[in-house]
Amino acid sequence: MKHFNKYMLYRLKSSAIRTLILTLIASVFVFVLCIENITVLRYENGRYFQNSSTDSAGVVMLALSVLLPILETYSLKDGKTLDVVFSLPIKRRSIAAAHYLSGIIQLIFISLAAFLTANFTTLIAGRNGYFATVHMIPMFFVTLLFSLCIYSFVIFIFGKANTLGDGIVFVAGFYGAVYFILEKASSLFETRIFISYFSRKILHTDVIVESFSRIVERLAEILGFFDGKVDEYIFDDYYKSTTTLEFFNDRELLTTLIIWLVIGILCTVGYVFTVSRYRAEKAGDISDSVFGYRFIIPAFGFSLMVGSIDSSALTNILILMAMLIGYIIYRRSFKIKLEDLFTIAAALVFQFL
Amino acid sequence: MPSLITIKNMSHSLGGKIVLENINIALEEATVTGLVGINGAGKTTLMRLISGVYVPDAGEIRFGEDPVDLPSVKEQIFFLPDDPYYNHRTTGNELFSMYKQFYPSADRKVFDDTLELFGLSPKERLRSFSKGMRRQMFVAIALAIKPKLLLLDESFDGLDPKARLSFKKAVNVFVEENDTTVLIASHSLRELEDFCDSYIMIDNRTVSSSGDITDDVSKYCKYQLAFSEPIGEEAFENMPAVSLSLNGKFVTVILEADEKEAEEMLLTLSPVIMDKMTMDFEEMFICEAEKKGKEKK
Repeated sequence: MKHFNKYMLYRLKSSAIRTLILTLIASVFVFVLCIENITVLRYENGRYFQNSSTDSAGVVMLALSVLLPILETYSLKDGKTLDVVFSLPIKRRSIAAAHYLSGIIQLIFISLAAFLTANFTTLIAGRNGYFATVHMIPMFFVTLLFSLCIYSFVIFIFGKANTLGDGIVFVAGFYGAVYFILEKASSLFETRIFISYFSRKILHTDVIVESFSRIVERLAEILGFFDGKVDEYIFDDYYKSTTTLEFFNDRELLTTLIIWLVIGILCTVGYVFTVSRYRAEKAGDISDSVFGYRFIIPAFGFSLMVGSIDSSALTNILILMAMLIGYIIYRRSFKIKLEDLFTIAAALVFQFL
Repeated sequence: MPSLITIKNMSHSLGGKIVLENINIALEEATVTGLVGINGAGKTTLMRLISGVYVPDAGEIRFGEDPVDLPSVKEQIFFLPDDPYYNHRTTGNELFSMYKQFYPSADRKVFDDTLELFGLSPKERLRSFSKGMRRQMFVAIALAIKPKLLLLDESFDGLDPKARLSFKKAVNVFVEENDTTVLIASHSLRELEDFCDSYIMIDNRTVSSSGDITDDVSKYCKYQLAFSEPIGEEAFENMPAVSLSLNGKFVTVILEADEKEAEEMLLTLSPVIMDKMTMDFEEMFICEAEKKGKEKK
């Protein structure tokens, strides 16, 4: 434990300047947006009810949940750094835990600054209108809950790569590939198999926002923050999803929430396991994880080719060429492997299915 | 004397290629051992395995009775790589503070004294140092930590002759005062010879030879001979010559024999002049490599 504490302290000290800079950037961003967008919602019984771009603080937190895991762990992909870190008198899982928690502490610190900035800017800059600052509390914690799920997902997928560049591709590509597969499958199979319209919702941002916003509302009710109809106006306009998509029932939203929480927990465990078993000699090497190019390239390729039999030959050629380029990037060489060529050929055949 | 480090049947691969195979080594306490081998032989890999950066594919590495990957064991081992990581903004003071957190035994006085010996200031940023100066800074850190086992990878590289002398002096004093075991990898065999008690030679993925430097060098004798007439290779056919250089009437030969046997053999050729030359570790290394090459053929 003492070694973990020391390394944790070292991580926090190392990232102190970065944290302060990000805090400043986030606070200025939120301040500007809030001060520019003070809005009077309605005037009733002699009172103004106002709000501002307070959700920008939530956007900041979500953006940090993607950025910070990368900033916290990219150094572990450098051989020179690993020579120092892995030879230190500390267990590898403690190293993983320290990087993980250090990023979360930074996330909370910077986000809290952003939320407070949003809150006080709206309060002070408004025209003495009614603004229920207390709603920022459940909003902060619920957004944090969701951000932690995203953070865990990103840190796990990024951790599967051996270089910084591959890690960024893995994060964007894996999420995109899964989303793409589900979108394609649902449009093809509709209600015929388990991959239904409902399943694809777990990756749909409006559904995710809605499911967490619903928690904010329920939490505010439980904690007694609701002031009847007054606050209902604020929630209706700003804390609920403003999408024009169809109404989502509570069962779907609860399932989305549970799925993301499970993803978050599994990714956290997976990340610690990955770092504990990581072969330092692979740092900087080709990233051959099943969560990376080996999944992303066929996932996109097959999804694009399926059902494209009616597309022009040029479209199909472009898809196959994109797969080829993907494999060249993966192998870092024009000498791609036979298995890569088989995958490209299989994608060509797959379109006829 | 119990071994500080024991490596048993250890093998490791990099990128699917076996780099080290069936390695068996025992490092005694309070010794300075030179780790030698050609480029790509696996010296740095071996050091990374001992320090816990790499985990061996097979076999075991023990520090006394314990495996090397325990934090309590790692506190007693310090690995100084060829090109250590550092933050550009870091000063010597900050570097020491960082390492002090993980190695409580780090001695500030030793750090300061060693820097004084090297003529470096702990207040300056590492980015303003030359490669050799940065290496000296990290050597000062390594000595300040006072580990039981010190792993130095190519630590002579980048040091000027004066700095090398200072480095050797500092390490020798350190070993005497702290009973530390040092394993130092280097291509500069001449530097290792007057510095190390023993050596381990890595060749063809395994330990090809090891032992006391002085004893093993004395297995060879080097002579310079002059003859009244030019002499050919065939004259040395029946001798255990590992190196032969012919230049008309002058011959330089290295024999794998003790001095008495070597002189008896060479006198049969009736040289006009026969001078015994000093054999050094580097020449012994070359002889061993050539001998292995011949055996393969």
